Amino acid sequence: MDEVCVSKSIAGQRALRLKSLAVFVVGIVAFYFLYTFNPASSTLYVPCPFHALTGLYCPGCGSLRSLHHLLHGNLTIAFWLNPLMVVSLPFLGCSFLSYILGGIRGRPLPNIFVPASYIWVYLGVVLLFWGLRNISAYPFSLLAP
Amino acid sequence: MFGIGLPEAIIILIILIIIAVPAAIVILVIWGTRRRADRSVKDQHSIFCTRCGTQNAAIASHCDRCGTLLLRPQPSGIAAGAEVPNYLAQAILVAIFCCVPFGIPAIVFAAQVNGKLAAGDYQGAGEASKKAKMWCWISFWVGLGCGVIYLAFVIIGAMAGRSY
Repeated sequence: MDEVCVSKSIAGQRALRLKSLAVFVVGIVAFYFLYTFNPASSTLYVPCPFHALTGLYCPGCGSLRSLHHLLHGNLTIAFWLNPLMVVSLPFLGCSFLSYILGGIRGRPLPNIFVPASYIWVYLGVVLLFWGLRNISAYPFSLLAP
Repeated sequence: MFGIGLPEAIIILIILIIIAVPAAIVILVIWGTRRRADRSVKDQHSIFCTRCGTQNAAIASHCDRCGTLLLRPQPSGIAAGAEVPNYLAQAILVAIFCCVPFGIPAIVFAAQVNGKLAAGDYQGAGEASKKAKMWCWISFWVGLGCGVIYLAFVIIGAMAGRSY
């Protein structure tokens, strides 16, 4: 393992630094746009292709509006626009941060091992959420954006 | 609002073709590589158990006689178990933000990576890792493609003096 690291250390470090810098810049620009323009009223954002094609909601529908409200501090509105996204956000933020920190360090941080069963459960939640938010009856209609 | 006229029907048809053609190519490619992989596994010679010395089939993961996990020499690209990326964060990201259902197989393969790592199957984990990465990119590019198409129609609409 050491030989692998030494043989490609310089090029690998530079590539990782550049990649994480690119990810960081893209993230900041995305947050700026999301803060400034409201996806509910702006034509700047791309509509969900799945929703445009089928008229049904996908597991991600409402996540841009949700992020916009989250950046403005409206936690409740944000949560009900897309609960799945808000719940997943800590994990995504953690991964984003560890990727950036790995870039600064020049070596990727050791990844936290998530047991496979947790990921299968998450997959089940995503599929269930996808199905339920398309039911227009009362308790499920809360999940729609 | 959702009434479909002729121009909208053409737009939907174009988007469908753009999504369906790459999806078909990808499915065919996966099919091809899997069949090749099957053949190459059969060509390899059998593996001996490190505990009891029983000769096992090349594709066996555990010893036939004593049930010990069969250890294979790891491919050079994969050095240690914990270093096999499962692309879970990217998979969730594309599943939620690219709005394309291709994020679902990415999550499936991410789960397979960690399941196989826990079982000590590093080679299988490496393969699942590659597939997870592939589905993340498919989802990303299809999402980006839809964005470009949308942008093109906005520009055409603006030039024609219509507002969306």
